[in-house]
Amino acid sequence: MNRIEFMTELAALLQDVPVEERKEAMQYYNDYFDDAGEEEKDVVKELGSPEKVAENIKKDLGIQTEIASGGAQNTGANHTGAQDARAQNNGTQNVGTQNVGTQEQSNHIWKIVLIVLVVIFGLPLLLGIGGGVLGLLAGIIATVFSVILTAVLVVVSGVLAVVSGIALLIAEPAVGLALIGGGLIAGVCGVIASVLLVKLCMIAFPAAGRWITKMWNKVKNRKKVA
Amino acid sequence: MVFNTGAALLDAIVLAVVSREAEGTYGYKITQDVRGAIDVSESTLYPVLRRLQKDGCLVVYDRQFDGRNRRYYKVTERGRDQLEIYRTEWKEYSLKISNLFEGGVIA
Repeated sequence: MNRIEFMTELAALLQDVPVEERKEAMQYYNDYFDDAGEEEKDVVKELGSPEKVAENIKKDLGIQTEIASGGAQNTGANHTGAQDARAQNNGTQNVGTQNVGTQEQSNHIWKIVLIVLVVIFGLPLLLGIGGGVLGLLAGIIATVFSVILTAVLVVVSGVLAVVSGIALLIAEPAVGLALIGGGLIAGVCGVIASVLLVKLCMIAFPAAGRWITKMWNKVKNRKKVA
Repeated sequence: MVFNTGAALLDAIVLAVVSREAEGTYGYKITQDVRGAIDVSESTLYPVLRRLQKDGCLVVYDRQFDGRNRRYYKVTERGRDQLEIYRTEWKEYSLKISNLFEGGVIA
């Protein structure tokens, strides 16, 4: 590596330090090459790698506080560098707390935004869910009623079969008897089914109602607690 | 050398080297002079010079030399005070260590 390569690489490695610092360092090492006057390669070897040089410059700029306070431990007090570093350290700590403050503020803002979003999008959602629950209840009730109605209709059709069986008994006794028998079976089954279903409804519906009111109260209480 | 040179000692050595020249001295020469006492890499010396400059212990100025500008470092009043503190501290410190080492032999 020659002088130009060294300086180019160093400049590239110092891109993220302040312009003033970069200029200073470049001038220093440029001077160093001029004054060394030896073989460029020897000087480069003496200087070490541009990475090492850049690393040390950055360490002193960025993590300067750590190094300086380490020095203070070595010497005790009376180290102005360390005192400056400590002052700088306090500075960064202040900046840190300020950051936390703004973070909290932005948290508040986010909470408000979230609440607004919930009100805007959540209300229709809640209405939708409510509508869904109501629809489901109506569906269950309708199903139950249709099942009961079917049972009642089975009874009716059974009665009708018995009646038409009696009417047909003289003209076609076999068919008449079959109709009467089938009608009676259907009628009895229908009656049993109807009675059972109605009884079941009388038990199930109040129970369901109680369960719903219980759940509702639970939700209400939780809201109160929160 | 088996002993490490801490940041404060390095500051003190650099201040002492620069203060020897009333007119001030330049980077390459400082490096050579410091190397006369301790083994230190160039990459650790530049940050020290820069820090001492920022702390107000050193000032820099450019002077024509060989048809180009050369950067010179000079000790300030504050730098002199700081060096005095380091000298006193070092005297105490080295005396204690020497007493410990040699006192052990005598006793």
